[in-house]
Amino acid sequence: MNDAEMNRREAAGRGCFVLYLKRIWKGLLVFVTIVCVLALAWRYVYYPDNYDANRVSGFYQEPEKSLDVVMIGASDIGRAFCAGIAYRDYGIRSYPFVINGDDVHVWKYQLSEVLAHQKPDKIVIEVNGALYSKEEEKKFHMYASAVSRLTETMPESLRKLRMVHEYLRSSGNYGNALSLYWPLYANHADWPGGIVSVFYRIDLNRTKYDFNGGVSTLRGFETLTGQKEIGPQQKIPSSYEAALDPEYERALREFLSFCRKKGVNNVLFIRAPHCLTEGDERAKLMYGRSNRIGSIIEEYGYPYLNFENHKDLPGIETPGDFYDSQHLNVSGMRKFTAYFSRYLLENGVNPQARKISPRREQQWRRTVDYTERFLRHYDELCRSGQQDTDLYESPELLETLQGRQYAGKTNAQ
Amino acid sequence: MNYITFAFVIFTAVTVLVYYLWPWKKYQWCVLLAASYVFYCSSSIRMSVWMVITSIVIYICAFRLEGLGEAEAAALHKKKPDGTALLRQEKKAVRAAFKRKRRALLTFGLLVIFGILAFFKYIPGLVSGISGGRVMMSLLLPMGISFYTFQSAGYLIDVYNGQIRAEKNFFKIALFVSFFPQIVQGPISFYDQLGRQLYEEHKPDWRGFKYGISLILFGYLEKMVLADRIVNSIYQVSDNYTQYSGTLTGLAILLYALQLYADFAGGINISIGIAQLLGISLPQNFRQPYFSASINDYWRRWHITLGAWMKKYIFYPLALTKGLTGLQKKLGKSDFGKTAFGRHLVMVLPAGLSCLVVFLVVGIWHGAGMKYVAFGLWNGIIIMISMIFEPVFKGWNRKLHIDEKSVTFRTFQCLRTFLLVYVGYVFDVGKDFKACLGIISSILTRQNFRGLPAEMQSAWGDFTSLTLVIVLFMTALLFAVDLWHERHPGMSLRERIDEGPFVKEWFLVTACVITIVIFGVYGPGVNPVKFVYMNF
Repeated sequence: MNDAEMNRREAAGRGCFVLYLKRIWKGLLVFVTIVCVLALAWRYVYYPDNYDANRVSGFYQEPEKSLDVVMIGASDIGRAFCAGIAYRDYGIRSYPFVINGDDVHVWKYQLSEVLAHQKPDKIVIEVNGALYSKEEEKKFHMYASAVSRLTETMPESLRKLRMVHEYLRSSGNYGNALSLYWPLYANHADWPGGIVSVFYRIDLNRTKYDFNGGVSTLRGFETLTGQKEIGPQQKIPSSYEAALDPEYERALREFLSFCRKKGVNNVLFIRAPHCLTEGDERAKLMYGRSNRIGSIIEEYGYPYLNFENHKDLPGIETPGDFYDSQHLNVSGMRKFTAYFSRYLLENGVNPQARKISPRREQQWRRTVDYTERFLRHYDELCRSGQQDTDLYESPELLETLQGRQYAGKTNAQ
Repeated sequence: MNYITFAFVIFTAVTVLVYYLWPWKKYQWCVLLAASYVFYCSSSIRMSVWMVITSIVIYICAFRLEGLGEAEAAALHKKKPDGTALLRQEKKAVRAAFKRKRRALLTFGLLVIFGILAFFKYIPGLVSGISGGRVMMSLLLPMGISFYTFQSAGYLIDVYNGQIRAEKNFFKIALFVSFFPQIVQGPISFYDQLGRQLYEEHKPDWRGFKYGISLILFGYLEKMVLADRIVNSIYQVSDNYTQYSGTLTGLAILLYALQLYADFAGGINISIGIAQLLGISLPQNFRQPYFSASINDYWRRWHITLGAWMKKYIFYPLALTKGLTGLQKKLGKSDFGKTAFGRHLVMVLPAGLSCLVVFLVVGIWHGAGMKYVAFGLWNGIIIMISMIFEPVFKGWNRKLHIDEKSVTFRTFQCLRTFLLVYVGYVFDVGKDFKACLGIISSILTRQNFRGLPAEMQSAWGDFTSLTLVIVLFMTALLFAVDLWHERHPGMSLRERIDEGPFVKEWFLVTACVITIVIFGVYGPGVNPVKFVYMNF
């Protein structure tokens, strides 16, 4: 039946089921096309190209139930532990589900994602995200930033919607709602530019993980070259405690209760090593809180390792093993990875028990190979005086590590 | 609530849904009234008071005017105490008395509503001018005040002239004044066009929905993808024209011509599209204005409803006043008036002078300031000259054997008209009259064609190659659509697309939505750019 006939019938007042059915499917077809095109545009053109986004999306590339250890936290742990070295020397398969400036309010959702996709022997949570204060949140918006980063990269799910909903309800920032529910709304202006740039971006997003057969090559490891100036360290008694911010303590307790309720028993909380520079009152406060947080965690029956008071265990030297007061450098990373890997093997992590296919083994061997190249490259850059160069997995870096000049265009630093 | 917000889209969708699902069809219009006031109050509850006052004033005045009309009819038919009918002289006296009363009532009503408009539009400027800038008065202009004031005035005048009956239901008048799709920037409707449509029952109409949505999408495309993309670039140069070459400033004015059309026409398309979703037809406000053959033609194609309002309530009454008709007769009796040119002048002089006054009013309506007066006079004088010297120009064409119907001549006319309009735009864009003259002088004397690309890069660093491609594409699209309509008068491109295969329709709608989503100017950190005519 053509449109003219349909309109004639409609004008005659005669109902026509086929008429309405045809209109409905036409409308649906338009709607579905729009949604599909925009979804593809987001996935292949707009997908954010930064170390956080790449790290999070890399987590989802890992085969189901293939990881022995998953780390949750901020850059403190992301730069302190290297998956490639942990696998090479200890056989541990790990991945940092880490976002810079991670916040305790999103741990619940990160943990849920980990449990939905993996079945690790240990889930390590670095407690930095629980040590902030409300004033810092007002100034630096860590919670907002963490939610934003996750919404850009997490796959669509009810969990994601609940995370956004909880953030909006607690912060009252409903003006941000559309940006969080629909990241394309916030990022649509990040069009790559000309036609050539668009094709490069599509190609980049399409082939991002082809280098290592569908998974990340460096498994989320990231570091910076050189070292910032770190002043003399303040002596603070190890018994010094500072109360957590009430809101953050509430969120932490809510998270711990959540873990208990879900029956998650393999969570290990840690505090990565930091510098306590003289005059840095914030560092002192964070140190005090990191001591206090242990007793709260232990109330719920979970273990807590505070490396602030035990830098000697991995043999961390201050300031030589630090990039800045918050993060270990590669030297510190080597020591920490070695110690912590041994600790994990002695405390419930058993890589031998997890059977993975030869193909996966091959991918891990490639990770080891490129991690070693990465570290040699890092050493070369440091020797040549490069300061503050951010090194993380990107097509350019992989080509450099391969010994070839990268010819493409990306937004990578 | 700005048109360019998700909240407005949701609001419109909910309004349409409630409108058609409303069970009491006789009171379906109440949904529109509620929605219109929700829309207005979301902008400012305080400012809605002025709209209510306007509605009350015109309602009462119209009611009383009709009452006076009925009283006059009764008085004329009334018998004298001795049982005889009134004599002719007596009837004339009765008519004159009632006419004085009706005129006084009309004057009162118009003074109140235009007084409110004048208060908000011109008092701050007047206070500042009188005090030499020492006293600055800042008044927020109620949204759409010009548009609803003109519309209300038109209703009152039509009742006075006996062309329409006064509406007895105050809430219906309130809806006519506040109808939300047109409150922001028109189109201005006459009561006999719109009133009946607003209050009658409407059933969902598939075709109306499709056309409405396609028009809304096109409007958003014009506004969000083109107009809002270039607006900052324009004012960056025009506000600081002394720092740039005349060539770049001239280019900025050219972009303004594009931006203003896309902004205004886009907004009107959204308004008309929304009304169409509700089964209501609003009048067209643009008809391919940049294809005009003359300034006269331009003003019949640009802001058509303002022109229609001016024609009906200012131009015709003025042209038919005793003063102008008297002048016409006097000139006709003179020796000059008996010559060929004189006879022509006698015919067109009232119309020409009326046009001048009309455009002076149009200029002042745009704003208080010399530049707006200059804008109005520029257009009025050009029209007057073209009317007066029309036979002379036609004579030149005959002598030069110019075929007035040829494409070449038509193109020349369009370009000539655009140039005249372009000069008028300078008065829109310049900060004040002095700046406008400065801009014109700069364009004529400070050329820099060779250095233009570098100057553009320096001034408009964010005007990337992508922006240029989008601007060129959108310009080509607007031109193509307008050209199609110019070549097919009376036809609608939407209808033509609808008649074609569904694939074409599907592709166009999808492409439109995706272009708006990806290339539209919106999002966090972007303040929705107000429609230009929202400030009037």
